[in-house]
Amino acid sequence: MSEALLSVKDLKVHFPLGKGLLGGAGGVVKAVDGISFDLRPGETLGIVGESGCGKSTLGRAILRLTRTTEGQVVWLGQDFLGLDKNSLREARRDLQIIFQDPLASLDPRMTIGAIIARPLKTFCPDLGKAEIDKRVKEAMAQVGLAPEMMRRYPHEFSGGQCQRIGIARAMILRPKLIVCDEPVSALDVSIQAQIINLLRTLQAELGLSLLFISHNLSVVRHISHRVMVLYLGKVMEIGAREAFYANPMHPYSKALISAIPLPDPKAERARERITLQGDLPSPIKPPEGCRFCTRCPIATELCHASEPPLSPRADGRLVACHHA
Amino acid sequence: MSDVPAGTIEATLERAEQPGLSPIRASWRRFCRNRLALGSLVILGLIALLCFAGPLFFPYGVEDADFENISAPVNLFSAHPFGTDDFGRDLLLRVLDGGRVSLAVGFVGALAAVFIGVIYGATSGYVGGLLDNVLMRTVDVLYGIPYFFLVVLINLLVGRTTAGLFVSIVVVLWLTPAVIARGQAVSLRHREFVDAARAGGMTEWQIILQHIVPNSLNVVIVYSSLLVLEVIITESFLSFLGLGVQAPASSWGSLIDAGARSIETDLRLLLLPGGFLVATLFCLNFVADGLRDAFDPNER
Repeated sequence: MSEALLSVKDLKVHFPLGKGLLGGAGGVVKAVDGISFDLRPGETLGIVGESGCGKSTLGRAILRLTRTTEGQVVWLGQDFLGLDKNSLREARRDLQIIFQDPLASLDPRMTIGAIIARPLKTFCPDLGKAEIDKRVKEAMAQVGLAPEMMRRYPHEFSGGQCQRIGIARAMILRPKLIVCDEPVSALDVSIQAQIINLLRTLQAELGLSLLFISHNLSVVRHISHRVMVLYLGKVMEIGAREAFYANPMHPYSKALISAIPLPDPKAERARERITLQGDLPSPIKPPEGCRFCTRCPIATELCHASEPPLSPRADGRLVACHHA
Repeated sequence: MSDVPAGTIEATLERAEQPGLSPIRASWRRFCRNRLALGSLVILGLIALLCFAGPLFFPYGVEDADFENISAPVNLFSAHPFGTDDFGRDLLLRVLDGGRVSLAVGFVGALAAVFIGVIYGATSGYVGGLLDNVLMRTVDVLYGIPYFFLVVLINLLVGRTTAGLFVSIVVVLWLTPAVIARGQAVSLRHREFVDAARAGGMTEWQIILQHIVPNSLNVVIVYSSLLVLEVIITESFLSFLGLGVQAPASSWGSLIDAGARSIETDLRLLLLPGGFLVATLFCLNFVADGLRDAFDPNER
């Protein structure tokens, strides 16, 4: 996989807990604890997992919006985490992000035209006003916003429209990778479909890669080429979409997929659900052995004793489980 | 994109060409609906106009003494409508001229204090960490130095001039805007649009000046309207104590001081500058009140 666009190697993000004035216990939250994967050009990798498993932190760490503790992010063959300020700025031209809360990601005091034009002004300071205007209007048309609205302010738009503005801002530099941090979870279902389809269309047009973070497995299924399941900051399973959805191997993946509601009421009633017991253990003190063992229906002595490595299976999938 | 319902675009297109309502303009509209505040702003404007333009229409200067009319009483139809003081100087003219100093020091002083404070506080709050600690502890230390001590010290350094007074007022009053702006910056730092700006390759300074500062402005604007008031009071107070504006220059404070000394013989000398000062402070208070309501995010 040498042609990988982005290659994450054993990435760790630990947040030290604030120590009190007198020292205190000061534990460490291991939000991301050793994650590795590759992303090819034009590919969409869906990242799923429940709240608090480190999905968003992973996305932010890759973009260097959060400090990483250990590990490597190789972007286009160069060590992204080691870049100095100026090279980092230059590299950011190709890496953009779309946020979960569409309104919060737009500066309330700027017109949306200014918001969308902002990255362009940063990276192409030589462009004239007319040229910037033209590019902004193009970008707005591309995401389905009327270009006449560029002098309006974010609070005058609906959630779905705000997300389109966020997408236009991310798109205007023609990046190679966009990290989508739960881009649709704050939107209602009909708008979700619009935004997902918009992302797919733009991906097809511009050939960009997406890192699609979501807790909604149906949405991930619709947009991803490959799926990665996280649990407590670690990868449980990573594999191609069809194989993953047809036959999830890790017991956690099985539980997640069994929780997807089905549109057909009859099938929905007959659906067998695997209900996980208990809550997500604290990421300050993850369980010993396999991280999932406290909630796993098939856990054995072995699982409590040793942590299963992420090992390849017959169809190219990687699964971290002793029994799958 | 075909997936946008056609109706939405058409409906918004009708109004689309005109620019949207910016948060500042929306707040201004709310402010204008507050009659008391708007009225106060108008009166304030009139007082300022009178102080700055009024003296131009007098046939004599502030220092010119009219020896034929020493301590003339109030007579609205004479050459000295509010009378003269015991040197024969026109009282109305002196009050207007003093107002010039008081208002100028008030507004420019508040502006300078807010400017310094906001940049300082926004930087401190946005960068965080060690720098934040150092900058804010410095503010704490400065807060701890007694105010008069500082004023006297600066008076000694700069000399007892209006400029010295101005400097000492700014040095004392920039601290609170700094603390307020820092609080705003800390809460803005983790907002997603700031992350978006960082991901968009903006430098820290660009983010502070283009995102953090403008977004802390609504709180700062309200505070600075109160600060103008505070600066004017401080200036008057210092001048009253003789630490501020020195004769022959005058401000409302030094005029009140002079008036207070002749309180038993001639009440006018106290009441006229005092009346102007009180009217100005009242108006500023109502304006500040109106601004606070207009910018309060909970009102929306």
